[in-house]
Amino acid sequence: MITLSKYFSSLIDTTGRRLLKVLGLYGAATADNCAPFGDDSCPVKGMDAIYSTTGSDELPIVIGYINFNQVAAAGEKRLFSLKRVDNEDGSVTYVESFYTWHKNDGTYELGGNVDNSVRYSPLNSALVSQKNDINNELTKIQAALSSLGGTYARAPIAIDISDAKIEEIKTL
Amino acid sequence: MKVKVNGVYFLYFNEVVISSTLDTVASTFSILARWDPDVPGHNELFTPLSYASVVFYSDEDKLIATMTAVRWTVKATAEPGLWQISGYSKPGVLDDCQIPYNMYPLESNKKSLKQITERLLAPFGLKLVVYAIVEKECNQIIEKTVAKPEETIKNYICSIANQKNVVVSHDIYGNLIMFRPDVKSKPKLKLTPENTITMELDVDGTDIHSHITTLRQQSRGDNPDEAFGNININVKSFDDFDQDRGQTFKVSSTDTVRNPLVKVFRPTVDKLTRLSFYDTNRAALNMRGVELKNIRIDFTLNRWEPISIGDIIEVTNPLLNINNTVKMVLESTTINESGESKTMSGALVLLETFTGDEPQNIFG
Repeated sequence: MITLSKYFSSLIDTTGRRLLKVLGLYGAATADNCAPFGDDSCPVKGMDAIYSTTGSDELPIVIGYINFNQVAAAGEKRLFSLKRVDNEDGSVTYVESFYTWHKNDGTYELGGNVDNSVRYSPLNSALVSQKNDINNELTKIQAALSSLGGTYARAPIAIDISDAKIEEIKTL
Repeated sequence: MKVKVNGVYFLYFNEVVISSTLDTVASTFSILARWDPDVPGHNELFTPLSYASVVFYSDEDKLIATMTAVRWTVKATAEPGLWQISGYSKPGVLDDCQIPYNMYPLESNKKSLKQITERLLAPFGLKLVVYAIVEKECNQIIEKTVAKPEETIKNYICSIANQKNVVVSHDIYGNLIMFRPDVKSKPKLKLTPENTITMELDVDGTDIHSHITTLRQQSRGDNPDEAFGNININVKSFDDFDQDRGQTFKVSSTDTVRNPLVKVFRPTVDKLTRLSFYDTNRAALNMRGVELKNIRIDFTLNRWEPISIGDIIEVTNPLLNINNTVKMVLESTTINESGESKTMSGALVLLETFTGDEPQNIFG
């Protein structure tokens, strides 16, 4: 049978599985955390957990949670982390710490929407172009100084930001 | 027989029947009597829902059973009728009640069968007596058990006990007991056609199987690679799985035991849901034992014998095709006393019913 319960705490066993303690219809119970493949997440105390029995009475699982902070529009996907804050007046609030949001307008927000992320290749091209422009100007300055009898040992400016390129993370 | 109701002798009754069964938490009784409100003790016993304590003694003042009245039946007729009052041993309440809500949670972690049982008995004022023969099993720590809210306390306790091959029953003092019949003990009685009124063989083959399989879902700790057994996991399409139909995969734990008494093919499969640590082989052996209860010998005596459930009884009766003396376990008894006579009846089952051992043929 599936019942609602309140998530209380968790621990990770020796095999790396997350074991939950929940308070449910039948009192305190322990259950395995069930999540989509590859998902490693830990709820905050007090969340509503969906507790379910399995083919072994001793092996119940929590198959999901009733989440707060639901703001995504149709077709969108948002991931977020929460921090539980116990206030001095005894109340509890859950503060969103960080989020990533796949929006249906084709944008992706990483923690906010005030500023923008930067593409490596155009940035690199722009910087190389600027370097070339500066070097060209330096060549002109050197020629002008020579025509006036002065000397200027031009040292070409080089720029290489390839080390700043994150090969493992791609974008459009 | 003498009867005490709430500590006071109850003197006038017509007939008493007391029945006991080995693996039940309560014996039952039935008493026929006439209600006389002027007689001390009558109001206590004849008041419905009084749940009066009813204690039975032999004529020699030996305790026979400690019971509770739970049912009252009488017909209102022109002539005052007899009341039939019946009930069961004190632990019988465990078969009527679920775990009280104030004793939740239903989950027990790292507790023994003895600890779990004593905790559940406490609100009812019942005591647990663990016999030495099963002390080890009753004190083993169980990693985790979960009771179902709708199941009775008796069912929960018995479901754990059965899987440890421990029999849950009761004694004459009204205690819950955990034990196992000692099949090596000395026989208490030998039954023959000469010393019985009747002896009846009753074998019900419909509930007896040749192959008994138990299965349960895999433990979450199992090695993932072991789950695939011998099948080819490099399949290219789902159709490839057809080649492996009929195989027993290790996705679940299974065990099959044979009953050599059944010579034809009669398989049965049962799914286990209790105790993830539980050995499926042990469960299959227990299932075979339970099925063996369908081979029984009922007998009737014109006297009371000093025998009780769980005792070893010897039987020989060529009319039942039992030509050699065989040992059996006394599974149930009924003693009856009326104005005219005292009789005793009982049922015997194979020793292997309670040991899980391979059953031996007693016929021939």
